[in-house]
Amino acid sequence: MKNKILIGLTTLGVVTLLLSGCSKVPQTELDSANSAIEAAKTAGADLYVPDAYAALQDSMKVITEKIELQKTKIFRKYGEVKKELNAVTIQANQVSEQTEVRKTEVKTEVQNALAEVKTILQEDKQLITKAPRGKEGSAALLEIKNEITIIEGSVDEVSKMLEGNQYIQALDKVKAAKEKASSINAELKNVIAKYSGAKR
Amino acid sequence: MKVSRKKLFIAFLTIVVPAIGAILIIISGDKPPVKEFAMARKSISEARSLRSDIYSEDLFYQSEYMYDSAIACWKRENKKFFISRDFTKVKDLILLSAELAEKAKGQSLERAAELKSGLKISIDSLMNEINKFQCLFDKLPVPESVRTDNNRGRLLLSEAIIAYEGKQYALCNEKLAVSADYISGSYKHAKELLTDYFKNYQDWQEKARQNIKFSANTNSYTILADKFSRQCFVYSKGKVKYTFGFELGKNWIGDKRYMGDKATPEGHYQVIEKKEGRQTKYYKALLLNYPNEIDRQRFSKDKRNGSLLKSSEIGGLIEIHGQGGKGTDWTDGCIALMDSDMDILYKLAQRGTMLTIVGSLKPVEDILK
Repeated sequence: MKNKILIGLTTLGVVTLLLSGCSKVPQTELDSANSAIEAAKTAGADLYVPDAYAALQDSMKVITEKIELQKTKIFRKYGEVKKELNAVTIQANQVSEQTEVRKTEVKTEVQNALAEVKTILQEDKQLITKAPRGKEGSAALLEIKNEITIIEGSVDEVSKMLEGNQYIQALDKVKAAKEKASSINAELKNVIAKYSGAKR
Repeated sequence: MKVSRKKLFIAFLTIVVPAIGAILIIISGDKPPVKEFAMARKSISEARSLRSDIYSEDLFYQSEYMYDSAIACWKRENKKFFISRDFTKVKDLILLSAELAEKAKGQSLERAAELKSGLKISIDSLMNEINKFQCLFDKLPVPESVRTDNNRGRLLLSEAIIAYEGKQYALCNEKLAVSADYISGSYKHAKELLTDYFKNYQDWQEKARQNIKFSANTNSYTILADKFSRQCFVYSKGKVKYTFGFELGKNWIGDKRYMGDKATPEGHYQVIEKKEGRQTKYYKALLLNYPNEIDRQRFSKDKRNGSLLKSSEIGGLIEIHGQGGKGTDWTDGCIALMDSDMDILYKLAQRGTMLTIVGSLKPVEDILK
């Protein structure tokens, strides 16, 4: 009987030592999660889906705190942390996918706007040939030609930004170019309409 | 095999007592600041969503740095034997991180609001400068590069407005700064050109006064042309009888210096010939006595001092003629009136009629107002 008690106490001691010192941080899962977050950042998640990327960072902070908290305990349990790390890895991969989707959306938006601006500019140039050159007209047309040259310069910059994958910056720029080209278009159409009305 | 009571007691002392002791020490020992970490994390997250990384960059990154330092410190403490762990420094660091994040939040709200109202003022001010540029320098032969800079600035202003409307105030600020450089630079350049041109204003005033006085004293028509306002006044007995608009050459600003400069001379001249029909291709024309004696003297002086090439010629055939109303400066230095106005002027003007051409009848200060 006494022998059994001795064996039992020894086993308890060994188990205690094992539980307190040998439960390991899920390093593989931790590395996977960090790599997935890094991959999301490299894909441009902080630019294209900033809220989702910030949520990832926050989740990772919570997990880091949980890991350190477990390290302070005798009986360390990393089961929950492991699950959370796996969830973060999945989430980070989804964020990377979302980034690519958003990137493609922005790229398409820029490409479409760029094509529209080019079309509007072509039309503007056509309209210039039809615009009245009477009093005040010629000077205004010279000014418009200068403006068109500037917009064309901006369009070139947008094309370069597209080549350099700077889609967000390109989007803002192309929007302004489109707005300006459209206002010139409206101005020219208005003048031509008034002029042809007066001729009748 | 029998185990003595003594051996059992020793086993109890060596295994169970230390285990219980350790548990008690851990339970009663120093605890990591878990709640403080949660608080700091929340504050950092909120600060980030308020764009503290832009509006309160220093505080925000200090807060993040303190958070990372607290984690690093916690890790270091965890590596120590559990009895000697002390989380005081970890707690201090994480509390500092939370405090900095809170400050960053406040500063971001304040700065974003300040920046927003400041940007609105800057946008309005640049719009005003653009309008002023258009009003003042629309007909001024400013160099192409200046006009291009102004247009570039206007396009950048549009980009800045788009960023402003998208609440991207920092980006808007960046674009506005570049836009302001272009717009203000072009305005300054054009203003300098104008101010420099107006250095002859007193002489113009005197010549205009002489022209009007001549019409009053001689009871004859005189013509006074104001290049800046593009208005031509016909005086009789010292009073304005007619006012006509006109167009000039591309390089109308400044006095005529040599043949082909597309400038219109300034000073007193006389009509020396009236042309119509086949005599002119510009409907009707009044030929002036350019170059007069003063023009010749200045031309010779400019050639002597090297400001004009030796091969330069003084030019001539400066007229007031018809076919104006094109809406642009297109002549080679002549004054172009609309045909209907030319009909009236042609009737009134005779050989010897005095024509005075001045840069402006208004001072530059009035124009810039």
